[in-house]
Amino acid sequence: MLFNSYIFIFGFLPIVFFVFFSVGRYSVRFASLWLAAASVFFYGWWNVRFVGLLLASVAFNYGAGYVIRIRTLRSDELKAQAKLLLTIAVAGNLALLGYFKYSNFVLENISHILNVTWVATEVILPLGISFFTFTQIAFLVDSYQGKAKEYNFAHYLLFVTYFPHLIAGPILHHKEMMPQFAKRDTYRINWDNVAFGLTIFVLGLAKKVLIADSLGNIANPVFDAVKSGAHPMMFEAWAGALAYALQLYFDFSAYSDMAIGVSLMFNVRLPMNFNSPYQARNIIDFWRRWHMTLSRFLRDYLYVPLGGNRHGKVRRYLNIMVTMVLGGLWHGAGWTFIIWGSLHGAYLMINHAWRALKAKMGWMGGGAWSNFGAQALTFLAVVIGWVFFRANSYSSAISLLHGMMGSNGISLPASLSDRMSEFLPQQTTIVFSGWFPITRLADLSTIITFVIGFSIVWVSNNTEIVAERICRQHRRFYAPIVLGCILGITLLVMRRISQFLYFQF
Amino acid sequence: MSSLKFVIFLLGSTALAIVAGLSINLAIDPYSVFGSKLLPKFGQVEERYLKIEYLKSHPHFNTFLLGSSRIGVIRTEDVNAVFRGAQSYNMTASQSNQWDAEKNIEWLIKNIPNLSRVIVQIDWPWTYGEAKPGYELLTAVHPDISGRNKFRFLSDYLTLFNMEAINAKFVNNFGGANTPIYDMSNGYWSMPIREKQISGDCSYAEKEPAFHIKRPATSKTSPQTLLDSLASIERYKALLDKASVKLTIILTPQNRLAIDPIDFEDYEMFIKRLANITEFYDFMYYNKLTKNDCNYYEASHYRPIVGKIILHSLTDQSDANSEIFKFVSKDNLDEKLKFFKANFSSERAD
Repeated sequence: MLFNSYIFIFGFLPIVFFVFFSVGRYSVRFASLWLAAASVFFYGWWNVRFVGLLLASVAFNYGAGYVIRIRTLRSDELKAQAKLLLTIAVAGNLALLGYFKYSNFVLENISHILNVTWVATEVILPLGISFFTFTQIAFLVDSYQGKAKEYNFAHYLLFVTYFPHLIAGPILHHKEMMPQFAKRDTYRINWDNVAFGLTIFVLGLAKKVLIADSLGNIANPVFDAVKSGAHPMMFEAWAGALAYALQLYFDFSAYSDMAIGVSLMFNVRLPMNFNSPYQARNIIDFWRRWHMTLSRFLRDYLYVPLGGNRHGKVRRYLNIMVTMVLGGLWHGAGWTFIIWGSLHGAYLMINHAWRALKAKMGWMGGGAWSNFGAQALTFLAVVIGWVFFRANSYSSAISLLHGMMGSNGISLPASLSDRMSEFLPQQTTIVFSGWFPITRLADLSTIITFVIGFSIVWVSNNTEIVAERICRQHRRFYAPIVLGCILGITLLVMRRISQFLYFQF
Repeated sequence: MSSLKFVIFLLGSTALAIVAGLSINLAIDPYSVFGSKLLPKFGQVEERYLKIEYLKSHPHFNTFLLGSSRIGVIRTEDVNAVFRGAQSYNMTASQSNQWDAEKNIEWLIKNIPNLSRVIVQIDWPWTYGEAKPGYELLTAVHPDISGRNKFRFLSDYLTLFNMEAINAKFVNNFGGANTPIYDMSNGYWSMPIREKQISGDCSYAEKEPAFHIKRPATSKTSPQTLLDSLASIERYKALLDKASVKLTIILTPQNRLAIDPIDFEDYEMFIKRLANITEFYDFMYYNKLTKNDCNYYEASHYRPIVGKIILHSLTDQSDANSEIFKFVSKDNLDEKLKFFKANFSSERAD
């Protein structure tokens, strides 16, 4: 079930909400079980076959975490056993993820290297497997480190399956969720939280339906054309790349907003996942603002265990690169994701080296122009990365990058032909077939979509701050009316349900 | 304002906004599917739906023209004049491809008692299938064909604010603009103001930017699209034969700029296979008609005068004296292919 569907908004959400708080008045335990059952139903709506897999994963990890915790509390000898169990349990999770997500990729590459034909089996990727696997790996490690304190199975089941975050995050820590499920107040309706959560949800839904999907209508035709062998000219290539950069942000941050908003209506606060990432002035800053819960996971459960910055500069850079390559691979089984991860690894290494050099030379931070330049350069680097992330193959990505560099020429509107032709040299790569000769998308709505998109990502605050202002700081009588109109228009426009991009990861 | 009040206001105004939105869509009726009287003239027309609805209550026609918007300028009066006893209806629909033609023919055989002739105009098959990305509402097939629930079909049109469609509706109703006029009682479209402006004066072609673009490079067509289209033609030809309905196939006289991108190998393959399915009239090559921009409104749509020429050509199976079409069949395929090859190669040589 998708947040941006009528069945969720008019059916699932109100029913779950009212039953949860009605039951919660009498029994916290039954209310939490109701929420867990509803979450499993939410998951099963997509494909009931994988409900068993989800529940088996939950049961296995809960059992493993519990045993690990018991053993770590006792003797050192048992602690060694706990470590072994932790290793086995984490390996089990990775094996599950590996089978569903990477088996065909590995088979394809081995058969390519060995020059043999192995027929890949059709493996359907269970929705949200990357997210619920990572959430539970974190739980296992937290259990071993003694950070996970509460082991109520109903709450654990709810922690993993809790529908707002189950399919596309945020990736949660056991310790930040379990105390909330244990609190009695969580089960009592709190209209402040409902109003605030609803505001965030409405803004997220509008971001997805009104902005992200419109940007997809610009980005998809360009990437599809490149996939089918077309060579886009400069403006069209840039439009495709920029539209995708914006689409991905609006799409995924909208999902996170909706998850945070819905969850807040149930009195459960989820961690922030996006903090205006395109306003970052360097790549380190970008990763502190983009998919923050994944960055946190990779830092705490991969980069730090690999040694982090504790073993010298070379090792630190190596750890950064390994973390980012695996982070890339987490997003999908494909070389383009590995390249994307490597590219960001390289960006981070350069950024750290630059910082170290600045500190050594005593260079101070610059003024407004310097900040603007830093933000623009960071954004450019990120957009180049997204080209690999979105393209269906390495060659498609390179083809689009060639287009962006102007190697395929520049196309201008036919109306400029008369005025410009006489000034152009004989041998020129400028033609007059319109701004976007392949997709023919250059119209007013495209310009408006870009203007709105860039205004929000570069100038506006993030959704939570905007919602805070609307709902808590300056609560005016017209605020809910304006929000209601936005929701009304969004619901009308939400005629065709579109999936969230991050579901595929 | 308390939080509870905030939520109530928010949900209340959402409900009002939805009701307002539905009412606006119903009143403006951008695709004319509700038959609202407030703006009676068509804007962007959902032809597939409206034509089937019209034919359900007027099943007396016996001759049908099928194809994309390009065949839409052929007047049914002209068809009736050329084919004795014909009572024709133009089922042109935006972006119609062979999938649409097949579905329409299935429906016609079931629902039109006196069906005797079907004329299908085939554009170069760049697309096949129901999906027309970006134009879902303009090109959605009638629920009787798709099997969708009619209420759900219509509800789609209540919930969309397509500014282009709304604008077209206003312009046509208030602007007296130079936009197509549709008539569901005969199915064809016309541009009387435009025709009046350009009739007998070809200077507009000099100013029309669409005719002055750089010559498009050839590009391969998806083999699957070509094969799917051919399979569809084969299926509807069999259906029509079984129902003793005459099928006439025309390859569209597309403007030279629309012929330029066609890869000759694809063209050759398509012609060969099509000739083995049925005989047809091929106007789709470089000729007196397609090379003269004055025959077209822009590089995509020919003018009604071309429609008349096509109709008169259809009475003649001999193309010996024709400079605008070739009648292709299994028997003369090799000879015609030689001609097309020479035609494409000489025209593209410069």
